[in-house]
Amino acid sequence: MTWNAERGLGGEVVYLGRRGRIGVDDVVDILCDHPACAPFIASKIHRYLVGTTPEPGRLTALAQVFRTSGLQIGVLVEDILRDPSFISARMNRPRYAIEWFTAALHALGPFREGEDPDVHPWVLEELDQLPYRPPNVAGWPPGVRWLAPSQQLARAAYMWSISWRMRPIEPARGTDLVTATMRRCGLHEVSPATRSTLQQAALATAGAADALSVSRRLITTAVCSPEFALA
Amino acid sequence: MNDINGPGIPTVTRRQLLAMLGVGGAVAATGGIGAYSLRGGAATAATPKGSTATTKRAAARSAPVAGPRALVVVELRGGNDGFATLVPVGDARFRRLRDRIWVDEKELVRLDDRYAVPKGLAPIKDRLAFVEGVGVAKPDLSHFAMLQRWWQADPDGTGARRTGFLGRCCDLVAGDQAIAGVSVGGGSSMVMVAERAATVALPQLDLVREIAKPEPEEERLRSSLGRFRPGSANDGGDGSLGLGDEPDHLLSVARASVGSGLDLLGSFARLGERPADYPDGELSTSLAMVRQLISMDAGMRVFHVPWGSFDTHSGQVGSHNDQMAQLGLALGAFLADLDAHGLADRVVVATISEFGRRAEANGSGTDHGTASTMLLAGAVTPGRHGEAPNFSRLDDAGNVRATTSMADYYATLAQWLGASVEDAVVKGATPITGVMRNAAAPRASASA
Repeated sequence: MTWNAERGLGGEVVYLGRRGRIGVDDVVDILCDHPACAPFIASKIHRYLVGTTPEPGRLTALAQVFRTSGLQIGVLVEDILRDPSFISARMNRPRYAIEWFTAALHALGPFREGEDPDVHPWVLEELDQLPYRPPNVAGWPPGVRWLAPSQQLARAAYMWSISWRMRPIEPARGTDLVTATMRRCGLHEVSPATRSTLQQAALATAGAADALSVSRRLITTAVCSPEFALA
Repeated sequence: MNDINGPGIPTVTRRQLLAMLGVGGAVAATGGIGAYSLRGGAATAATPKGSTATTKRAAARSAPVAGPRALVVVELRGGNDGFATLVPVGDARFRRLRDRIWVDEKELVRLDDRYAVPKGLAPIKDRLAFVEGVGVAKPDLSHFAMLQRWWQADPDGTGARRTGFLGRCCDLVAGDQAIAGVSVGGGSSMVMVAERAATVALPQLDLVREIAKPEPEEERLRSSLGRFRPGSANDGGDGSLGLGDEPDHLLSVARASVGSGLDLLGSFARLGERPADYPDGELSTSLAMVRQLISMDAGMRVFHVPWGSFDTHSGQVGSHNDQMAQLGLALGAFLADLDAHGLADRVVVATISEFGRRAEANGSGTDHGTASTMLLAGAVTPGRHGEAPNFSRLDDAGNVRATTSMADYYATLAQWLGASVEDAVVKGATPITGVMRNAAAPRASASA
């Protein structure tokens, strides 16, 4: 930051209760030292990661951790992620597009030998979350917008378009195709409705000679499941 | 209100979507995504540019087509610098304020001795209307606060409205069965939330063509995805997981969205191939789809196209010029497409942005400002409208004062579309005269 002497207030000012000849660094220090700063940031990051605003006691603790660390974001994030409340807050918020994208690619697995490795990351622009290009400096807003029909449709289209390069799913001994698919997708908890949908998808392919077609349909259906859309 | 899935997610009924396709009620009753033809409708095959066929078709369609008016709002996200869009090159005070990021003369095209536009807009400069100094009396410099004001047409930020400006326009001009408003790309937006009318968000067409194919594998995939739909014949029962109210609510929303997404998919089939004369790029793709949707004459009157990244705190010159070039190409192709289909007289495309930028540069960019210049094209009178902001009379925060109110700008759009200004915007808002080429008669408020 640079100081604009022409526009800056040269004399004594009062800024958030502190009086003096206040420069740029002073403004930053005053903001960071303000009692509301740590809980404000802690609450925002908690909501972003967990999906909920922290309980008052938890917020106080997080703010203290944040302050003690010298306002280190990494320390705050680690505390949030290591807390049992993070693990227990399953499916508490929609996955952001980038989260869905990376999870879907992980489920897809490595492509077959010799296939083009390009995963078409440009699709994140279609999914409205292109890295380093947020709509404004505040970033991308959380919430149910990530569950909009247009998002679901775009995700299904992407997965279908890219999955033809995947290695077919091969269930381990004693495992069926649906279970193997769910494991690849990290779907450890699914509703009876979703399990039924995946089972129906597998049944519909029974007798099909093409293992790749079967796998494409199952993996695309799985990553479009309601459970996969949530974090 | 059409946000039963939560704020900002408009929903439509299956019947409304099928009506959009031009398919009758008897077919709608059969259910299933494959119940109607996926390749029916007035699809326009892509034809190489410059071919005889294209020329003949363009000539045949150049006569104006009677029909309802359509408003296309391009939302320039992040706060577009109106002063870098319509550049007051003749203002010495402005020149001093922007000295650090002054654009080289060869990157500008003069309109006259006082104004210039970025080179990227030069191909369409004679078709553009510029409305200067659009803003609010008591601005806020927060993206969130000003986005809400613009989305809801709430100039004073009272927070009293539950619907969006474009959603209300849809309520006021649309029939009951039609999908009145479409947001293309960028997901759902508050601006499209309506009280009664159906509005929908569509993803980019190019992305979803693959799963819209009427091939056996794609049919099987759609059938599988269709089983997520609540109440489907193969629903395995309870879609909940018992993890709590919020997870179950989100699962329900996600499940419904998959179903709605599939319903949207059918609408793409009628659009056919993307018109060949558009350049690459997200905005071009969106506008091409908008023209195709308008041509369907299926009741859609309002289109929202969010685009860009105009929050240019740093590196503004390069970023803004690039985006202006994209805007010029995309709008140019869109206007030519409207001309070719006889739609230019009944379509207006207009920009909005949550705020402008500061008059003074901060280094390599500009920070949040207040008033901005808006662009319009289509059935408009080209040239400058409104009053230029005064760079010698800035407010206490060093920002220009708005010379055209957001309310009056919105009133101009609403009245042209055929909506009551008082109901769409606020009481007392007055359309700006001379902007619209064929201004409509004022409509009385429903409460009058």
